[in-house]
Amino acid sequence: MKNILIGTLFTLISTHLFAFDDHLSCPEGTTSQSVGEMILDADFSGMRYFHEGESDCLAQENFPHIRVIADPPQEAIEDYYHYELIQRDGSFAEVKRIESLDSEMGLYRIHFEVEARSSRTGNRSVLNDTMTYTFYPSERMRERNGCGGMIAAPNRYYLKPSCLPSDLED
Amino acid sequence: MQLKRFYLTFCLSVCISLGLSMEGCERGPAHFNPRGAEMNSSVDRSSREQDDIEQTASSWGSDPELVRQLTRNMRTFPSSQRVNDHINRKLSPPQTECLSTDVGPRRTPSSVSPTSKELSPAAVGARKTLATIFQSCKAVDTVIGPRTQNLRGIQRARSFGPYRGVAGGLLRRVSDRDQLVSSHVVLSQLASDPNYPGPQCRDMTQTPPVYGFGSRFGPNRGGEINLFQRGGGVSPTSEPAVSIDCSSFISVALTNAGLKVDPGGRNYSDMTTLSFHQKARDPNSCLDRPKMSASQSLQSGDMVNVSQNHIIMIDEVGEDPLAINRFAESGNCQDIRQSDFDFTYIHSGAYRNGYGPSRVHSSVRSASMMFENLRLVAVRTCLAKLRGNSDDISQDEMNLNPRFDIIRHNSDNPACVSSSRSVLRGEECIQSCENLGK
Repeated sequence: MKNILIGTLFTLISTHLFAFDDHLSCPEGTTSQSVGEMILDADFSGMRYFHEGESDCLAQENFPHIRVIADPPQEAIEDYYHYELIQRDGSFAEVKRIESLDSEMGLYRIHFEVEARSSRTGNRSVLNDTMTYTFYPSERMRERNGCGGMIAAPNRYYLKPSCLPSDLED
Repeated sequence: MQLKRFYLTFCLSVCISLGLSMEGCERGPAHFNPRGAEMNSSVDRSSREQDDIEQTASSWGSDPELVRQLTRNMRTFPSSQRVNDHINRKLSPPQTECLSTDVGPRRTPSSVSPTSKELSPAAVGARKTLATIFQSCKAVDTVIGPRTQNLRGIQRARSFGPYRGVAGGLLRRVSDRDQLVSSHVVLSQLASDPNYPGPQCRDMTQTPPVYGFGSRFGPNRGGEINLFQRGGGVSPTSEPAVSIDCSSFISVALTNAGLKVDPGGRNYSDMTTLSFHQKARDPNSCLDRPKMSASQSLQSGDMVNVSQNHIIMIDEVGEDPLAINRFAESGNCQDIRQSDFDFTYIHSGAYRNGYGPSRVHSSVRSASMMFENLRLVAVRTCLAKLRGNSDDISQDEMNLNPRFDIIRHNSDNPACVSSSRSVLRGEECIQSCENLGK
C-alpha cells in the first residue's frame, strides 16, 4: 500500500515537472548545413503559410531540434500563393552551398534549388532560392531552444505535397 | 519511517512551491491570473519564465538548478537539508533576483512599470484604437500572455461557400458567438461586467472583434473611421463580428494620434507592411529606423515590421526591454531569448486562433521571424556594450533580415504631426479611460 502511494506521488510529481518542459535539444555534431535543412523542412511544411493549428504538418513533435511557430502573413499580400514541391532523388531541395555570414552570431545562408509547380499557373519549373538562419552559437541556447531559427525566409512559399492546404472549401 | 518523512517533506515543498508560484517570481504590480489565462499587468516579468527550465523552476517557485537536481534520473533525491533550505528560501521575504547566475544573468530589481504618462504619442494612438474597438478601457488593461487559451467558436477556411479569403488568405467565420465571448480574455470580462456597455458605448460582445486577413479601413469624407465593420477577412456567412488586419490597425493608430507618415502628406496614410518598410527608408518621411544602443533600444511607440508579414506597435517597455544590460553584465549575450524581453505590444494578429486587436506580452511565442531578428538586435547591442563600445549601431550593420525594421515615428518634428487627427467612431465611449495616456 505504501509503495502504491509512493509510486502515485512520484508519478504525479514527475508528470507535473515535465508538463511544462518543452525544451528542444540540438544533437552534438549538428552542422550548419543540417540546421539549414531542418529549418527548410519546417518551411516546406508550411511554417510561413499556415496559421497555428491549421496544419498537422507543423506539429512540434515533427521537429525535435527547431522550434516551429506558425508565421504566416498577417495582411493580404499579392504573392500569397504556393509552389508544390516535386521530389528529386528522394529530396525536395538540393543544397547548393552554405554561406557563413557572421560566425560570431551563427548567421548562415543556405542556397538551394527546388523543382516545383506553381499553384497559380500550374507551370513546373526549377527555382533557386535562399534562406538566412541562425545556428545558435550558445550551448545554453541550444539546450533550450533547439539548434536555430529563421532570420530571412525564401522568396516564395514552397509546400511539400503532403502539406498542401486542404480547406479550400468549407 | 525515515523514507516516509522524506516524502512528506518533499511533497510539502512541492505544494508550497506551487502555491507560491502563482504570485510570480518577482513581486510586480500584477501577476498571472490564477485561472490560468490572461495577464492583468503592464509588463509582467514573471511571464518570461515560459516554456523552459525557468518555467519549470518558476512553477515550482524554485531555482532551475534545483529543479534539474530534483529531476535528474529521478532516483537521486535531494537531501532533506536541501529540501528544507528550499522551503526556507520560499518562506523568506521576496528576493530581488529569481534566477541563479549559473543559468542566466542576475535580474535587476523589478523595474518601475512605465505609466501611461511615459507612453509615446503613437502608443497612445494604439491604445485608443484598441479601447475603441472593444468599447472599454479593459481591452488595454488585459494582456495576452503565454498561457492565454485559443479562441473558440470561430472557424477559418480559404473559402466558405462562394466566399473566398482576400488574396488567397484565410477567411474567418464566427460560428458560436457565446463560445467566442467566453473564451476571449477581454470579452469574457465585459460579458460579466454589469456596467458594460457604459454610456455612449456599444456592446461589443454582440459583434466581437476578431482578426481579419485583408480587413482594412480608412476615414470617410468627414474624417471619421468606422471600425465597427465586418471587413473582407470575415465571411458574410459569419455571425456578426468586426475585424481588422495588422497594418490597417497601425495606420489607424497613427492617424488617431495625429501622426503623419509624410511631412507634406495627409493626416491619414493607408499603410501596408511593405509601404512601412519603404517609408522607413525614405529620408523625407516621418518614419526613421533608429540606431540601437544598450541605453536606447526599443521604445514605446516603435513599430516592429517585417515587410509582407506582420507589424506591431510597442506599447510599454520595461527598464531593459531587450534584456541587453542584464545579459551584458553577466557576459552571456548569446543567451538572450525572447522570454527575456520585457515589453508589451499592441497589434491585430491572428494568434490564438484569430484574436485580432489585442495587447500582448513580449514573451508570447509568435511571429517567429520577427522575434528572431529582434533577438539578433539584442545580442549585437549586448555584445557591443560588453566590449565597451558605446556607439549606437545602425540596423543596417546588424545583418538582419532586409525586410525587418524597427521603425520610429519622428513625432518631435512639427511637420509630422497633424493639427487634425482622424476620429474613430465610438471613441467618445473611452474618453474617460485613465490608461490611455495624455
